[in-house]
Amino acid sequence: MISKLAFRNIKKSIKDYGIYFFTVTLGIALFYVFNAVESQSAMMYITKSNKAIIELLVQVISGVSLFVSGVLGALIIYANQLLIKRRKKEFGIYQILGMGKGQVSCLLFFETLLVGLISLGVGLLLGALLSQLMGIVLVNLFEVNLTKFKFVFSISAMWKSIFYFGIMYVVVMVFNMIIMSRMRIIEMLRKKENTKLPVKNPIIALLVFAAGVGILARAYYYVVDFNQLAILLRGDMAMILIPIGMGIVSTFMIFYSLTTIAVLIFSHTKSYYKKLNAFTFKQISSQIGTMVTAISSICIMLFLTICIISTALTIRESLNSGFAESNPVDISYGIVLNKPTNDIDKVLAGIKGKNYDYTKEFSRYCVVKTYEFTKQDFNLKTFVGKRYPEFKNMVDTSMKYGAKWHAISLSDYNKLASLYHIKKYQLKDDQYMMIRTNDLQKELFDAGLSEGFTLNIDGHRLTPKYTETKSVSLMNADNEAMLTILPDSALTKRKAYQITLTGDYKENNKKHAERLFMAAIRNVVKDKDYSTYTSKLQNKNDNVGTTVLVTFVGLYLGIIFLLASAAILALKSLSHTIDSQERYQILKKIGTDPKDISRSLFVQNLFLFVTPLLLAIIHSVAGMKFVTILFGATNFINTSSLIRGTGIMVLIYSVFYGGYFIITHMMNMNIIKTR
Amino acid sequence: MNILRIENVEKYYGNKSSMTKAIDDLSCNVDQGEFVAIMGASGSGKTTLLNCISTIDRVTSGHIYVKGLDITTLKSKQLSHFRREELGFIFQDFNLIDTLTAYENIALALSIQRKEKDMKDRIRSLARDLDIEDVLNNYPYEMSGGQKQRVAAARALITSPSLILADEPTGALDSTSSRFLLEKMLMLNKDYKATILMVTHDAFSASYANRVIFIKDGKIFHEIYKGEDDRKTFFNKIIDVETMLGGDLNDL
Repeated sequence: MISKLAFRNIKKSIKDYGIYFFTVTLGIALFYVFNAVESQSAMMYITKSNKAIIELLVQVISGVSLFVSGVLGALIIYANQLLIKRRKKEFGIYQILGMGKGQVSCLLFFETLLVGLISLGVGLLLGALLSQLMGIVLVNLFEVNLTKFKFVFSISAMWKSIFYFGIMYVVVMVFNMIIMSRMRIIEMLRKKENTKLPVKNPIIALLVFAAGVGILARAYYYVVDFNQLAILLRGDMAMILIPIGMGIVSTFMIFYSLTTIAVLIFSHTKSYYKKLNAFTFKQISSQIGTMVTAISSICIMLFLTICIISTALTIRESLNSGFAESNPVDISYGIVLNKPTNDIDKVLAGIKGKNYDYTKEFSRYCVVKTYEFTKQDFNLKTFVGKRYPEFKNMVDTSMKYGAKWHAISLSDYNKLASLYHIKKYQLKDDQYMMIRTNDLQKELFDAGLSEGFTLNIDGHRLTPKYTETKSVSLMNADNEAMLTILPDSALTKRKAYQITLTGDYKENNKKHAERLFMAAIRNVVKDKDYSTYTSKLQNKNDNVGTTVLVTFVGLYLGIIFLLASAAILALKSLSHTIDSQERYQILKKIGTDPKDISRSLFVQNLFLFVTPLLLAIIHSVAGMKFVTILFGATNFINTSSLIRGTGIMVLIYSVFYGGYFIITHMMNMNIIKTR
Repeated sequence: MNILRIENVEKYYGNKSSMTKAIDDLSCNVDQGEFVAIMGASGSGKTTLLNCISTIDRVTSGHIYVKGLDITTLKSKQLSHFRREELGFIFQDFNLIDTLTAYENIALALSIQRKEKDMKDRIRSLARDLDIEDVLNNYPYEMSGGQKQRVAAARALITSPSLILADEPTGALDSTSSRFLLEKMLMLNKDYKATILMVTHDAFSASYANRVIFIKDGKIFHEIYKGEDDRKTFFNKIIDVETMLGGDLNDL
């Protein structure tokens, strides 16, 4: 009997269950999609390094999923409360007819179970479909080819979804029973009395608002101005919590006083008494005024979402675009010679013959010689001269570990420079200069140069042309940090310690070209020589791994948060409309144009969705500025990537947030239709 | 001039197997400036009749003309237009918007018609006449029942409608407030020339009207005019009719 009633109730209240069902289904679908990543990756050709990344990804997502299911669970509980509220009168009637509390709870249990099973089924179906899409996204992210396209379904992800949602549902049903047992019959049947409007003292509201804005401005200043930030964080990284805390508190203060201020201003304008404006305004006030905590929390959640997604996407864009910059050639291959020689052709004979000829296989290339300084040539201690005390540690350590210093001829450097399309240099016969590829020992070497250290190479006395090292982006085979450039005339008596071939493969299929090259170089190294190389393809793989991890986790968290925020707003909006039903009936009775009513509903809904988003966006501007400063030190982010990343995020927002807004409006319209 | 003409109106509820006839071939006319009371027991069809006139409900057959316009042929969009332009309502449970002040509630009737001109002055003077000027800035929960009903009356009248429909206006009020409200309604009828159609089961309220129509089982049973009688005499006449029906009209 109860189950029959449950069935019929669900059929009747399909519209009521609408947003509840939609949210749960979407939640399950997303949950499944992200947890099915592992099986989706079976579609692709995986390299060893990619496999490791995917395993890491799966672990991270599992961990995050626990948190995510907590968020979704709280959401479902909230949605459930709304449903019970909607049907208060119905439950009251059941009880007054003599149905016991236990039986009504049982009824609710069946209904929730039924809806839960349906949404689980639909959610998994939707998830399965979406995860095929996700597979394609993965392929794109990893920049590999599909081995074969087949429909994959992850059993493990399915079980995980069922498990987590099973737990959630048990919690929900327990909650329901508690709520049911607490409610008294009279509460359920009685019409709502006229509630007092929570009217706040305007003067206090004004002060709170001003204070809130002030605190917020100060917090922004902290994180946006580089100097302020440096001063703040000088003592302790944890000090960053101060502006964060200020931001949160000020958000609450602003929302607390917002409606009172708005009423103060708006009620004195001419348009207040036009159409349904006064009514709409009061509705918005009563709604926002009673959910200050919720709306502030949503604002902060939205802010986090924007930052997470934006940062993740921006990092991805940056890594991808920065990659091109720091990997200008396909390969840089160097042979370190046991016996120094200048005979390039002899050394590279193995790749300049019938089996493989680099002059034909490479579209462009250059071969350079690197020389090693002897201890007589160059001594780090004497190099820094009287500034040794400043750099004592660095110098002593370097010398203790027998660091070697290398040089290259000017003409060879300029050959590289034209290959890389970077600046060429000029040197007189009595000058030298130094270039650096990272900043590790910048100060040390700048000091030496500014001291005017004189190099003595085979009788040539060379003085530094510049008083500092020049920064250069070279992809070199042995990752030299510091390289000295000498005029060709100074190196006539020297023999090279390393020969380096740098260039681009001619073939378009770089993987194949590299495989050929790697096979060929096995014939090059003789006896006690050894080789080293830096390959663009390999760097790319590492790059891809990081991007995927960051993008995925960022999107997962971001979208779930976004979903939760939008769902809560939707539910609050529906709840308020249900409470206001009588007012809309009155408006209809006195003959208000239905168009005016629907416009009022739309505006109310708009305010509710837009206000927290607006403030969140303002917060995000400061937040992202902070992130750029933070990453600026490591050159991780550039502006154009930021714009592109933010653009994609705006798209995601429009789809999810906008979608929820539209659905909520439609459901609101449905609620006020005369029953 | 006929403000309201009801011609052979019938209203049925239900389907073939179980049919209820709420209004059974009813016809009557109301002239401009009249104050008409419709009396009947619960289930006599008086509220149904009022709902049909106010276009909240539709008749099964027959015609209703307001100012010459056949409202039974109007589509829903035209109906809401008609309702706000030509009618004013006073309900038993006030039906004021609880989030608006008295002033805003009255102003609402004007703003939904886009007739906000001289709003402030018009509302103030009407409020003065109805003795609610002091509570204009109060919310409904801060007012007494009588004050709320007078605000509703102001809302009904402010747009100068052709017809004011009142459904048991004194139903939720105590005797003092009832008397006060009825005096005000009489004033509106005399000074503002408002045409009022009031549904009530209370003979005392009905005695304020200048014509009373008695309805029983969906048909007009009897009709009496006040003429030159004073209110007390008229009240007695009303009681006589009720007694004549053997107390059937008394639904308490």
